[in-house]
Amino acid sequence: MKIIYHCYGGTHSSVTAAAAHLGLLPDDRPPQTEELLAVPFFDTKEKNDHGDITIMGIDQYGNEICFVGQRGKPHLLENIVNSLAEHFAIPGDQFKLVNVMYKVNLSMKVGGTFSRRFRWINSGRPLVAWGTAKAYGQILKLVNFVKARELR
Amino acid sequence: MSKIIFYNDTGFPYSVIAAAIRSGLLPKDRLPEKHELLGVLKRCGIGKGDATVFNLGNCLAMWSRGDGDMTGKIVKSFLGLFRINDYRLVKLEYRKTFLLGAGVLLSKFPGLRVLGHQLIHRAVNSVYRKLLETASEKSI
Repeated sequence: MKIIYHCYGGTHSSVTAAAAHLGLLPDDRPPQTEELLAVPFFDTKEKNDHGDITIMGIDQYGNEICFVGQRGKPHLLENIVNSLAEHFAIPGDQFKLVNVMYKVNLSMKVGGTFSRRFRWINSGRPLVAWGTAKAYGQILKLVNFVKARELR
Repeated sequence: MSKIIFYNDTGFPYSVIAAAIRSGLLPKDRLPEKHELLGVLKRCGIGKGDATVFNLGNCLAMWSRGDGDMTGKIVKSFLGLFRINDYRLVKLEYRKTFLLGAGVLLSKFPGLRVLGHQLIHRAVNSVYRKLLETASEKSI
């Protein structure tokens, strides 16, 4: 199965969720800034990467863990993916879309905008990392829920 | 046979018309009659588009308002995840004209629907030859 985490830019919350799913981030405490910045693709994707579903890795059950940015339009992503699956005979149990966008806090939004849109990386990146650490509990809860459902 | 996916991000279902031409649901040798055009458009809706992919015989069509770069990438990367390569993605660059916008707007009001449809028909007819050329290209 392909599990696709998605958020606005596909570079902070969805990447964090995918990394948590793959065990690249701790599951018992919020990550340090250095740990977050060491996650592949964290705070690196640009606007022209939006929509490009990227595989981060394969979990212990053989699921491909992916992430993507959808510019705050999850319905576009969901409509395309679901209707393409229908037309190309891809079974619905072969993929799962998980919206992480609503786990994003204000610090992540502001830091992400500074870093990605305005290219103020020196001020934006620490702020978005701090915000991600704050939101990590909620993101982890969602990831654990997804994992639990996949195990059923 | 590989599927053709027509798409556009200009807020009007030009892709549906192109797919219908390619599939033979709309004429290739003349301009469509109003009832023929509306018959096709009503199958998929005349709204701004929510990127749902519709099947029109041999071809697929989707449209949205803006974000065409992103929707194209979603299609390519999602199908790529499943190693599906037997399709061709064709982006249409036709713009939504004022006449067309007015027609779509008027068609939402029961008393003005006929006038709205008339405007849509006229506006589509003005670009139909170009759409026909694009949809009939042998290279796609």
